[in-house]
Amino acid sequence: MKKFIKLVVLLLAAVLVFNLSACSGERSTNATSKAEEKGIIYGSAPESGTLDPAGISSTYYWYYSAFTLAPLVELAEDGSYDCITAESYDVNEDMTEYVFHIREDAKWNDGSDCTSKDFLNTIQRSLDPNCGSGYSDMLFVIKNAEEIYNGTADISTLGVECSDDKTLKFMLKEPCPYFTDLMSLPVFMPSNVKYATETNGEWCHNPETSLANGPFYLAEYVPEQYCLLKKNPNYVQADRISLDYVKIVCIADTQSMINAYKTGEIDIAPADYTVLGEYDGKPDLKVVPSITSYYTLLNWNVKPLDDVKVREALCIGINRDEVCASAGSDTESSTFFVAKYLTSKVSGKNWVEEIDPLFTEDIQRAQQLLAEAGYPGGAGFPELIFKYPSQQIDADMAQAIQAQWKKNLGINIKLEAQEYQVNISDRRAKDFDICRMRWTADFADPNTYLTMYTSDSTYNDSNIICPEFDDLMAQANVNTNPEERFALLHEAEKVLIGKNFAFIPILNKQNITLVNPKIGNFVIDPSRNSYRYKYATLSE
Amino acid sequence: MIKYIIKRILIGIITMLVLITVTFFLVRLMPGSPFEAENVSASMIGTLEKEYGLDQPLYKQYINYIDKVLHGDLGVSYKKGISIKELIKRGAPATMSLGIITFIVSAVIGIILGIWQATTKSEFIRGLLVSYATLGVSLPNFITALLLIMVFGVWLHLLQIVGLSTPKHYILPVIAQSFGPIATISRLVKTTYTEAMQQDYVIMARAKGLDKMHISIRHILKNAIIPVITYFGPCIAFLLTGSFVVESLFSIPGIGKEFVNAISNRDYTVVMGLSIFIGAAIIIANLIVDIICSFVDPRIKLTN
Repeated sequence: MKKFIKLVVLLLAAVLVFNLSACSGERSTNATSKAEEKGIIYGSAPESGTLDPAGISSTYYWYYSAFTLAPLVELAEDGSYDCITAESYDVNEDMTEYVFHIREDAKWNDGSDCTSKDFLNTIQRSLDPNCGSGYSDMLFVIKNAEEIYNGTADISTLGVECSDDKTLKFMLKEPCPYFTDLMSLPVFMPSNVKYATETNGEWCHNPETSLANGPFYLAEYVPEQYCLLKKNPNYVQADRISLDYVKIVCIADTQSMINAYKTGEIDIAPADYTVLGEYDGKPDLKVVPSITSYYTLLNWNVKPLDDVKVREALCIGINRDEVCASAGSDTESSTFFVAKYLTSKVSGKNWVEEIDPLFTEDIQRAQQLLAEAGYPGGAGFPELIFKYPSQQIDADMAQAIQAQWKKNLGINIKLEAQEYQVNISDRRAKDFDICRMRWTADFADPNTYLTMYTSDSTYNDSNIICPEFDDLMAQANVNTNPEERFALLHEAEKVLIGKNFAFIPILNKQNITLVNPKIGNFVIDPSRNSYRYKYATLSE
Repeated sequence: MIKYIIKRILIGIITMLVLITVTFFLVRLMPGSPFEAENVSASMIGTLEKEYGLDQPLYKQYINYIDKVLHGDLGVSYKKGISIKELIKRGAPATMSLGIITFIVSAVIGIILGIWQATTKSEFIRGLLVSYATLGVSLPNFITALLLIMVFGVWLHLLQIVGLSTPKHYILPVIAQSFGPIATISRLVKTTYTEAMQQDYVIMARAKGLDKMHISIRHILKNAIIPVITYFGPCIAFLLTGSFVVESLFSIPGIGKEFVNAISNRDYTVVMGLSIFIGAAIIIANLIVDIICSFVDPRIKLTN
């Protein structure tokens, strides 16, 4: 028996040593960091993708790059642009050429120069379909980029020039007034030309080769667990950095994230509406409207959804506040397609503050329209199928809409919950009558929403054909006057939703975060409507 | 014995081949693509699928995959951009260390509780142990895990609930994972131990005045343990391949969580690679258990 007990103890010890040897870095870092340095621990979604800006990007990359990579320019809270790695930039009159002048003191954390070739390196690697980046098509505004991606043009024909180490010139295929907004995207971030040669390669996880030009650099990386970032003294605005380190920890799901915040294991936890009651009135709770729109697609090829009267009836026959009450307290009703709180670069206000609602909910008028379309009181209306991903918010939203159409218009809709990937697949194949859709802006410009539904767009899954809208979008795309361009975009949205009721806007979501009250000096990043913590401070 | 082991390995290889074939086609039957996401356009998905050879006929993709596997190449994750071997190398230490500790804890405590249950004369203790055994087999591990997190992590702030970086981090996930197996093992041991206690050779040993501990271990437990060892096979396989729920709740970077996420993400190569890994683990665990059984009870002839 004694031998048996000894054996068990030995085995347990061996197993612990085996695993701890892999995690020894974390323990030692924790010990020194906590005792001597000032830093924060940030909870992140589990790791997927890589840390290569030209590679397969994921939520984890966004958390990482927000601290380690500095863009040429970035959007400030008031809608203006701050030059970060660039000193200045010039735009030609028709907005087809952008020249960025990179700061002389722009350096990587190893002290080497951050040059125009580092930016070009990411762009060129992103144009190889093998890179797996979901943002490659954001480069297609550059001359020949799309052709290079599709293999019909040589990389040497790309419309990007590096005349010297500190000048980066973009030649675009058509005017692009929102081009500077794209600079926050991964494909426009720099990657060191000396080390970042293999896309999705091991270099991006190795602190020796994964260099940073941002406020922090990668000091330690443990796959699927955490990455430790330390203050980069070579950053162009190093004097603004207050923290010594930031640790980004992978946590599996939102509930675990909230629990980890409560135990004090993390300082910042992206959370959900379940914490609203518990933390109401407490300084930990931070709520920011997101730039995510939830809406319901109507397939124009399915009868009677090809009839604008039916579409309008379905659109105005919903009480959105009731839908939001079902979908969760972190939602807000919306009668716009473009997210209500997208910052307008023209006025600095929110998108919604610049115009009147696109339509008004009106049950009586909806009933009248339905009768005019040949379905009085819903009689004879076919039983359409509403497909949605089987996630809580989508299920709650679909059930509330189904109940309201039944109650307000007398029509029966059949609900079909689907696995997330199956739902996307069916939508892409245009195999639906009614389908839930969600869109989060890639960059802070209404263009990211509205171009999806031009007649020739590959995102146009509901077969929308609206020449008037196409024409307005075409005008907006070449208009270089910001005020006129935004007026055209507002008009285009009005035609798409307020006149043609192409689909049904339902709600916008909010970003809910729990932040340790000791953390201060963090501001909203309008390009993503979430917080920027790179200059955060930590009080005693 | 060697003949038997070779035979079992050959059967294992055939089983693996069937597993790979069935999994390959079942996974591909699911609608969707690894590259589909809300912000990716249809034309880009087409280009990416072409680039990764997913536009080819299914039988061609299958032949290519088998060819790669036979050359030791399990492919690259579509979602993470790293090789499957690397993915297993990353996830296996966490899952396996947790699995081995859980197994040892379950086996030791389960056997002790089983013997205690079979030998105690106290009705109260027996009732308590029976209640635990019933609760243990009927309570899903996610409930146990959540209760532990709330009590020891959130309310009492005694233990950490994220990851496995220090020995303290192991305490809660090990308890959550071993709660069920301890109950199962103790029930099994109690039954077989009680039966063995009635055997003539045990009565003879007692009559000869042998030491109680000696009778308990040499005569009763040795015979009572065989059915329990057969349970160890699937138990080890289950623990070593990881529990999705426990790994998710405690944010453990193991392969169980990876496997389930890969299915949702249509990351075909990861699903295939982990199926092969898990399949091999189950086959090997069962083979080892059979060999151990033959050592414990020489009457078990493996060749038959």
